[in-house]
Amino acid sequence: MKTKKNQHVKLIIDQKVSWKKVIWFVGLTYLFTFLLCGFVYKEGKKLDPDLPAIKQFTDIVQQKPEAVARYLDVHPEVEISELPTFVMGRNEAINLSSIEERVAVYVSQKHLGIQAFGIIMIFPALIAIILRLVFADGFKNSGFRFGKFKNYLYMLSVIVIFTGISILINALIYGKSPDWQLANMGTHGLTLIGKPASAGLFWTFQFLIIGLVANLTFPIIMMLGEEYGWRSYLLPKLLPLGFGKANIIVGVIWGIWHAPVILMGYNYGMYAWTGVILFIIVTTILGTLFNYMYVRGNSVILVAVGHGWFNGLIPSVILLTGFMGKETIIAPLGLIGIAIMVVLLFVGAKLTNNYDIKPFIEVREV
Amino acid sequence: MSNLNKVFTALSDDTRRQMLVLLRKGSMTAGDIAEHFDISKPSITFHLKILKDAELVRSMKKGQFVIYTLQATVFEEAMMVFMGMLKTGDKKNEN
Repeated sequence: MKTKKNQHVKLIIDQKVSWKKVIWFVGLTYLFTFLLCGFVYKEGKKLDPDLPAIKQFTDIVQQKPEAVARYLDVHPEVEISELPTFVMGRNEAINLSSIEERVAVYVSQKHLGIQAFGIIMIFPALIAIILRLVFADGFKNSGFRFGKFKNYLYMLSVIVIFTGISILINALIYGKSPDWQLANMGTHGLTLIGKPASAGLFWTFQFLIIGLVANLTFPIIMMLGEEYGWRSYLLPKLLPLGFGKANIIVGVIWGIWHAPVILMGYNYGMYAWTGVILFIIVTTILGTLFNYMYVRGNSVILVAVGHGWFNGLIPSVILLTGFMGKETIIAPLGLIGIAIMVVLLFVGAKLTNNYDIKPFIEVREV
Repeated sequence: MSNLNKVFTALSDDTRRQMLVLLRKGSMTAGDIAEHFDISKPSITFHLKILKDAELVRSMKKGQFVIYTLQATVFEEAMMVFMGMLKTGDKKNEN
């Protein structure tokens, strides 16, 4: 490259892996995460002694009749008369007409602690900041820049393509067209902000506003919480091993970190241990996209935005074609989803010269 | 009586159809259901028993309350709408 001014700021990596920093980072992140999850687990036992807490909590809050009936069954001490009959809206009280609504509000208030599991997302960044201070690494080489606009388009295309293929394949395999009206979920007429809406309008809104924009507001802090740790701190420390090895190690560490919440029913419902294994595979493959894009763009904001888009668009697949109880098979996160990701992984390899990162890094001379 | 017969009988009354429509929004106690109708408590109980026998609703006892939950199939719900349009047996079945 002869034009110096147009050259993009490269990611600087060391010649050798600092295992000390890697172990401190992973150890402390896991420790904080597992401690918090221990607290959530204890709260979950109070909600239901035999069911995974996060799944049961979500099911009750979503007013699934079976989950609500079970809750009333295992809690004989909860009287119907003590369940709330209204919640305060902005200006007036909103009446709760069904038992499901009343139990959902009651449980979401009484067992609020279970929702604390979301906090684990900030630990990777928190530990990364602490270690950067402790080891006096500074914050210069941490990718805090927007980077090239083009990279955002690449990132978005991959995620949109994955979402689209997932919807298509799920529908093909189960022989049903996507449930655009959400009839299977018991919805009688779609609404937007309380007003009736056509399926087309509803899904445009769902994809554009919820999927692409909403996750770039407040939730981006949580995404940065993860990415500032996994991508910005951990990945460059391991890159001296080469992209392939570093990618797998980061993916596996990222996957195992999710284990406690998956064991409590997150993402895979009742399939706890199978879910843990599947999700390690998912994070390793999906991690390739984020790891590669991080190095290419040298931007943590790019991967945080990508993470937000992924989390924002994926629920559409589940809403449209998510056959509950088949979490381990269907796309996006079951075997079918993994198969689609593997195909995209190979397509990605073709487009990026086998994930060649040499043009984007600079090795620090010691 | 066969179950299909019970379903037809249960759906042939406007009050009971209204009860099912009400329960579509979620489970309710017998008391809450009664508030929506201008009829006596015993006849509420009577209607709910017919719906329960036809397995269109199920009930769960909780303390001194009985909670009713809709468990009609899609077919039964379609039938309900259909019979509602025809106003089937609104008078005949009150014997």
